[in-house]
Amino acid sequence: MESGPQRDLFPGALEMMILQSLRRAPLHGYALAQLIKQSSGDLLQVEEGSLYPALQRMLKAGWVSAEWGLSARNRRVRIYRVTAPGRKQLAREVSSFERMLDGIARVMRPSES
Amino acid sequence: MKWHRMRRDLAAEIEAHIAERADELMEGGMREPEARRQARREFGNATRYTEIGGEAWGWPWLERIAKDLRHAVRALRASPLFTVTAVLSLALGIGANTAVFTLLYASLWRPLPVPAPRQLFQLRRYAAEGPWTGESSYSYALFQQLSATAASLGEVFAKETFAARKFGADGVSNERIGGEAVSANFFSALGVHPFLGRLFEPGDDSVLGGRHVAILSHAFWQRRFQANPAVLGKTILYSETPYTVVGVAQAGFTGVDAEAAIDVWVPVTSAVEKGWLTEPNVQWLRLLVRLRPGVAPARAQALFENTFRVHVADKLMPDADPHWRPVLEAQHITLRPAAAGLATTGHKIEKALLLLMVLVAIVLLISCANVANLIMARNSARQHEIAIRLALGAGRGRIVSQLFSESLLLSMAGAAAGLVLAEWGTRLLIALLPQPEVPLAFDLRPGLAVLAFTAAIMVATAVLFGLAPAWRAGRGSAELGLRTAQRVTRTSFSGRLLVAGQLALSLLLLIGAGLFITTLRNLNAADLGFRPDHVVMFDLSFPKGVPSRPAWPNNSAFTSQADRRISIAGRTCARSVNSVVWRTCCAPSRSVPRPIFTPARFMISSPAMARSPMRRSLSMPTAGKPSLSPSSDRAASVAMVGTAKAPRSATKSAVSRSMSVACPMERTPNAAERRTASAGWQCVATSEPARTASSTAARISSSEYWQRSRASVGEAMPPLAISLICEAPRRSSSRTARRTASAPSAIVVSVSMWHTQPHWQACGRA
Repeated sequence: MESGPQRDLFPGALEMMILQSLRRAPLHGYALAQLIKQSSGDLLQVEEGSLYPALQRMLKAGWVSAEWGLSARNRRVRIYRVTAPGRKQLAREVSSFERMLDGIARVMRPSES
Repeated sequence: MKWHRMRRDLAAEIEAHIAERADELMEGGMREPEARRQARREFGNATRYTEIGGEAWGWPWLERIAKDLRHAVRALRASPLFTVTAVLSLALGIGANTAVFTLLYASLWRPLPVPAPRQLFQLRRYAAEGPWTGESSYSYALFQQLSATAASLGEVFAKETFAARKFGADGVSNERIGGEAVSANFFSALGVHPFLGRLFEPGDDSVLGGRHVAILSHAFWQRRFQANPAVLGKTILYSETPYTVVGVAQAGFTGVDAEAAIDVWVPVTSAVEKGWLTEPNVQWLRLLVRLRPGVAPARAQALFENTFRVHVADKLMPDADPHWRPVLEAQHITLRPAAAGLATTGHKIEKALLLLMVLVAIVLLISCANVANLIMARNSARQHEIAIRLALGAGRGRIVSQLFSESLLLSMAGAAAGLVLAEWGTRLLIALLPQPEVPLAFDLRPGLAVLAFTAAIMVATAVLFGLAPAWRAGRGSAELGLRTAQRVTRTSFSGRLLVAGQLALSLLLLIGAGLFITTLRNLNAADLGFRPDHVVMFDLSFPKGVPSRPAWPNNSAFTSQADRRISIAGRTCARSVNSVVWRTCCAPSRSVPRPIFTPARFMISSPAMARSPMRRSLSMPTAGKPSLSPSSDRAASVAMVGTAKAPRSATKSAVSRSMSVACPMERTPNAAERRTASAGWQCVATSEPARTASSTAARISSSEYWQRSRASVGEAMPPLAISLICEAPRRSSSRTARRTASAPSAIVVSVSMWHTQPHWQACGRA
């Protein structure tokens, strides 16, 4: 299912970024995509559409909740917010991500270790 | 449905996303169509994301199957010619397989509706070789000895060799039913419960005249008595003897013969004369045993064999004819699993059916190849469609699964049509089988086993013909398919292989079918020794209170009376014949060359039987004396024997030899009479080549003719109820027809009045 656009990210990365972005404020899909794009400085090649399957999975897992609201342009959109399990999940993912980064860093720069 | 709403929400959300982006772009100064295009490009494949996102909800695999099936139905409806061809082709293949399997299952494998059928075994008297093929019959004395032997191992129970019986409920027995006499422990050992009333109890079959009580089968009770519970206590006539109905057996139980449906059971000792219970030479029972759990069949078999050997040495040997002794020596008791009952017919036709199974499997393979070819041709015509689907982002797995579901749908339709065809096919197969006297009544309801079998071959065929083409189609590339707008007509290697395989299989099938048809034709065209067409068989029934035959001065007076009385509309000639048709097998004669009796079924005809009009009417070619005269030949104890498969030379050489008649002995109550009976017969003629009249009579009597018409013979004679059993204009083989073209074509054969008459009179003994 996760073929194509998400190929460049490791599994769970997108979910982590979404949770992180939503932690600051509830957002609708488009705003979320813009936020991730901007905050990554356009470094990540993420197709906007690939957000949605991820959001659906997270909705099902109960990490985010969604309700219909209005966007800044007065359009009917779904606004997502992080739930308590979502926060826990984020903490777990961040810590494991950091461990992974740490490990990779050690491999890449063996002299410092 | 939640997932459905979720999906709608998702689609709306994605549209909103794209619109937002387009708005933003337009705010940046872009024109609307441009902005929309740009927004969509940035978003990616919206349809695909909607699908993937939606899959988080519900059961994606189930839904995908449903989608595939919907699509398949549409695709198949779009090409009805292809669909009909494929379905018919598959229906033939699957139907033929199901038909043969149904018959195999019904005749050999369907377990009896009793608890723990695997504990049941048949006691066979088996001889590895020799002329006596053996129908595994036992005398009552031997049954009792074997029962005593088995007391610690299990329970031996007995039933009479199955045959048609006369039945009546209102004083006249003019109905034919399937009935059998069974030992009192028959039901209890099998584990059959009464549906109504009681089943047999230990006292019912006491040797000192068993009680005249009868049990009805559930089906017969429903059919004949409209399921009226008041039948209990009613008096019925069974074999012209009154019996009291005491019970109805559990629903669905119709005896232990797979091919026969028993309607009435009576206790084994009530149905026969005393001699049958004491005389060790009267072999008339089939034995079964239910072994206790944990008892090894081999151990039981060894014990039975011991008892049998002692019995043979003590009781049978001293009295036996010299030529009969090696036969007795060669026989051993073996246990054959009887979880499916006796399956007598089943074991006879097993090999032929298995061969047929192979043939129809080849038919199925050919249909598969056929359909696979069709599908491949269709798929190459659909390459464009497939390429578009690939380009739209369909996974190869999806393409394969979609094409495969078309195949599955085809084979499902094929299986459904096949089940209908199979029903006919099974009937056809049964019609081709040699018919015993009582019509074959296999339980052909498509049970779970048959349906499972059909489902299995359905899936197997779908895999066989569908998977390879689907796989090939899924492998094609989108670009190639789109670019080559023209149809790809190149014949693929696998396509050529299929055609070659199909040809090879067809050839194989042709050879197999040829052999099979030859066998079948030989079977049906076997010379019966007389013309079977326009032969009518009837049976005389004596109502209660009418003096039975001995009251008439003699047989010939009786038969000549009957001759005069009986006439059948539109037919000029009606010859009644006294004959005893022996159905049981007989020992080879001392002085007649062996081949003559090897078929184990022959007919001793009385002089009366051989009277020339009778013989002429039956167009029975004979060797030796052309006809027997009732008066002189009777005194001389002559016989005309029908032979089967005997070489002409052997048949001729039998003439004028003296022979002993072993068969009637078995039925003769006392040994002294037996000896006089068997001594001094001389064979004056043999009908040749001849299958026996008994087997023919059996062949031509088919159930639909039973009770079709009844006629009263008139006033001067006691009112005889005549049941017209059969009128079967059977196609005779061209050979017979040529030879007997000028023969008259109507005849009435009467089979001896077995249960009412001292049969020696009927046999015409000197």
